[in-house]
Amino acid sequence: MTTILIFVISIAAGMLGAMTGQGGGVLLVPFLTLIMRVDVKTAIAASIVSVIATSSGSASAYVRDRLSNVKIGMYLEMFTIIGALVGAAITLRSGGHFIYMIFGLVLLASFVALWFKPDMGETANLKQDRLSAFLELHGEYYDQATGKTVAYKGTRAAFGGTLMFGAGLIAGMLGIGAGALKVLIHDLVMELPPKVSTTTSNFIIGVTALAGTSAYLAAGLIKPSIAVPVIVGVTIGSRFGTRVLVRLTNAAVRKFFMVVLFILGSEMVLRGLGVL
Amino acid sequence: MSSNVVRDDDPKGGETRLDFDMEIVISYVLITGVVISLILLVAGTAAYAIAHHSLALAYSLPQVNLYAFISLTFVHLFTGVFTAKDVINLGIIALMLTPYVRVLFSAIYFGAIEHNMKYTLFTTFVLTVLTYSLFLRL
Repeated sequence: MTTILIFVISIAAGMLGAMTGQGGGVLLVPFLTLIMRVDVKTAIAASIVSVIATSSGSASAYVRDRLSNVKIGMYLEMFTIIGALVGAAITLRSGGHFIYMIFGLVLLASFVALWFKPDMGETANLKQDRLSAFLELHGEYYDQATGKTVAYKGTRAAFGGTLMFGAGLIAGMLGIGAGALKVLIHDLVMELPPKVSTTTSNFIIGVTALAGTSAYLAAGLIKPSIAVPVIVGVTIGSRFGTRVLVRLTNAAVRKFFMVVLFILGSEMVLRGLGVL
Repeated sequence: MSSNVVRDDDPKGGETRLDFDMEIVISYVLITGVVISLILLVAGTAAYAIAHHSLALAYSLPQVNLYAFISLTFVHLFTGVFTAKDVINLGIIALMLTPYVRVLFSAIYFGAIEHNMKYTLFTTFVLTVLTYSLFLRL
């Protein structure tokens, strides 16, 4: 029964996504297209709608814990939503092979990035350029692990914003949250502390996904037969994933995920080349 | 986690303590939207399955923007031709409106409560782009 299969695949994608902090979309579209032979644009449309659900669900908790910075999020959203609309427009006008190729390359790039994963900074940044100060990109949060309130300042607002356009573009084009890329930008470029990076990125992802979704809806690519089991499945999967995460070692999960990324990325690239 | 709601009126200090209230509101908007959406999707799918004896949701959404989609669905609701498909569609609509409502609340907060012109502007920009893309585009 196709619906049930899609539902199960979505749960798996959601779980793996939550366990590795990468988000379900990255695995979902390859699973749907390679295993279930779903048309790639339909898969992307279904995936991007589900991203709204997963991101809003987790963002809700982080915002309440005052870990996400709403202002930084709002500032960066200005860039990501434009990027998402452009990305969705590109996908809608592109041939399937091109999309497979880009998707495969992004997966392989994620594989490489995980391999060389930089260590997240420990001390909070307190230097800021004038634009960032003007934009009020600062805040503080209560770190439950250390029991201290940490003050921080984000910087390089202009460069960060520009890069976020690119992250939005990828998100809109491939139907993913591109959370990992956004976190990298927050962490390395804007020098936000890791807990703020991940939670603010999460916060931004939902609105970005909505921008992309609007384009796919208007194009008639949101097919309930795919989208509905996907939305419900991925949401359930990510809820379970965060619970299971506690019991597994980080290294084991990361290695497994990297293998999956490599395999899926290679298959997508081969599809893009017309070999598969 | 109690917070003293002390108003910090120092303009250079930046954030007033009312920040905390906005974050609670946003948090509830997000989770409520997702929960409502999921309930509608699951209930609608169950109703569809009962009516059609199949879990395969074999219908397409009209190729329209969100405004038209919402109107269509509500016309069905008010004229009595409301079916399982409409429940499912409402679930999709609820999900899409969730981040939109969240941004709307932020705009109201930055404008009317925090009186932060910069961020009211930024939020309005985001809201405008979303409104165009969701409701106005053909």
